[in-house]
Amino acid sequence: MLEVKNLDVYYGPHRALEGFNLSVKEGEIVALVGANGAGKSTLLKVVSGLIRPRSGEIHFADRRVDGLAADAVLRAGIVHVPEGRRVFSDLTVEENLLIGAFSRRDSEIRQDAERIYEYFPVLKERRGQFAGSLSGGEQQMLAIGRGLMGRPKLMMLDEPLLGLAPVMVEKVAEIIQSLNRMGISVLLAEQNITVALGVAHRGYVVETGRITMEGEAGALAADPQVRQAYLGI
Amino acid sequence: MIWLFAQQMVNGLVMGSVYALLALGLTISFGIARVINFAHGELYMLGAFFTYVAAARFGYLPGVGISVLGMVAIGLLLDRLVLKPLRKGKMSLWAPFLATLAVSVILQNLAMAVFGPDPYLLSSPFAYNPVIIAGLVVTKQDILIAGVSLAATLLLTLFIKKGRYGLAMRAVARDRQTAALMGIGIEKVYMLTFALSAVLAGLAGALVAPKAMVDPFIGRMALLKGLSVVILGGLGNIPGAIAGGLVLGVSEALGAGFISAAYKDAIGYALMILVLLFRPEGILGKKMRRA
Ligand SMILES: Nc1ncnc2c1ncn2[C@@H]1O[C@H](COP(=O)(O)OP(=O)(O)OP(=O)(O)O)[C@@H](O)[C@H]1O
Ligand SMILES: [Mg+2]
Repeated sequence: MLEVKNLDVYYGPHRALEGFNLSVKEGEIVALVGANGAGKSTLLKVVSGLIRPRSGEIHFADRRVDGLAADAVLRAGIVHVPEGRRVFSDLTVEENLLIGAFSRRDSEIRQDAERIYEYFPVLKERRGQFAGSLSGGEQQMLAIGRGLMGRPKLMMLDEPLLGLAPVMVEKVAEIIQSLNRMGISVLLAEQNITVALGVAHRGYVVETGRITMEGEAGALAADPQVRQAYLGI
Repeated sequence: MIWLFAQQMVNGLVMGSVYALLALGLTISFGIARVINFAHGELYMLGAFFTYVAAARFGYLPGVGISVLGMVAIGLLLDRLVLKPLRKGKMSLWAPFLATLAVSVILQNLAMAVFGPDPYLLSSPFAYNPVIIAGLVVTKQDILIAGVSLAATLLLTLFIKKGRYGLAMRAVARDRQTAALMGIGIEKVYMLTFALSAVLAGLAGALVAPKAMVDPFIGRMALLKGLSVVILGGLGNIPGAIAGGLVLGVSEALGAGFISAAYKDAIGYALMILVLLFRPEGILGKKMRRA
């Protein structure tokens, strides 16, 4: 459903992505793993329309989406949950959810919010409080809930595990799998390669803007090169 | 003594509600678009002149309405022609500062070219024949000023709190990139912000003009008052702008009544300096928080 072809992306003279090819098929969880500065966030930002690529193409559900503005990409069904959660700290939890549905004009927004509260009861308890008062894990749930309010077909998560306590890491990993069971395809950018490849069906390894390895998640996790480079074993 | 106090309170609240309008416009353009608009006073001046021209043909109240429409156009032009090009890349506080300063000078000179340097009197049917309520003298214009300011303030607050685009404005104020990810049209939000800001300033000009004179340079004082209030109330803080406006209006009026009218403006600045010294976050401002 998502097809990224031969993408080149620059920040000024600095090349961030080079000849980048990646795909996410319907129903898949795909992990995009790599060290700091590899280019994971850049890819997600290009797909969601925050950055323009210099060359290459992005197709989503048989439509070309590169060059579209962020709101058009969102309406096409791609939601980007940004790195660092980026909840609106001085808006309430409820307002954060509502703003996730900003691009929608239908009448089921309230119902969707209630479903998200059912799914994340902590958010319901704190619906009237400022999002800034939530813990890191709760903020991540809010960021995911806010993303769900956009009714994505594909959800791109940028380092959702970063800075979370081990219990929370497990919890968010479960959430990602259950999103997938709801029928949402997932592109997961992560440095936590063990967990990411643990939940994903397929994975890509990025190094300085290029894909150096790709394959079935279990095979990647077992690959001696990957293990040595990223797990130190 | 008590009479004088009460009378000056009334006068102060009327002027204070105008100061609040001025400050609200500055507050939303700073709070949402990070622009300290040094042409804000000229928006006030234009609001007064638009009303003057339109009122000559259609009467005062329709003139105010036409002026408001004109201010929507001016706000949109300011955003599209001057501020939008400055938003490319990293947001700086300096570029909009210098640009709006230039706009302010240009608008003063344009007004000079069209209207000349002499003051005009905008006449309003409400400015004469004051009514006496409980021994206090107020004109209907005063009541109009306070009423319209109150209504505009309430509507704005309600809109920002509950409106779909009000929510979008608050999101953009906080984090424009994430707001874009939510599908919010950032440029639309900026256009709306400056249209609203210009309408508030223009409305202040249109309402006060019948109590004062209109000339191409009335915007300077209006900007100073607006900025003082913003400092009093706390930068980017809406309730603070309202409270700050009323505090400034009342202290000026009490100072004028009990000390000397000549010190009216000085009292405002003294207040501002005190606030800067002892409560730099503003009377209603929160202590600085991390973003
Ligand atoms: N706004 C920017 N301007 C210039 N260079 C940038 C910008 N954003 C990222 N870069 C550079 O592009 C490269 C890729 O960055 P990117 O943020 O995509 O990496 P990442 O894989 O997400 O890393 P991390 O795991 O630290 O989030 C890095 O070399 C980074 O320094
Ligand atoms: Mg990143």
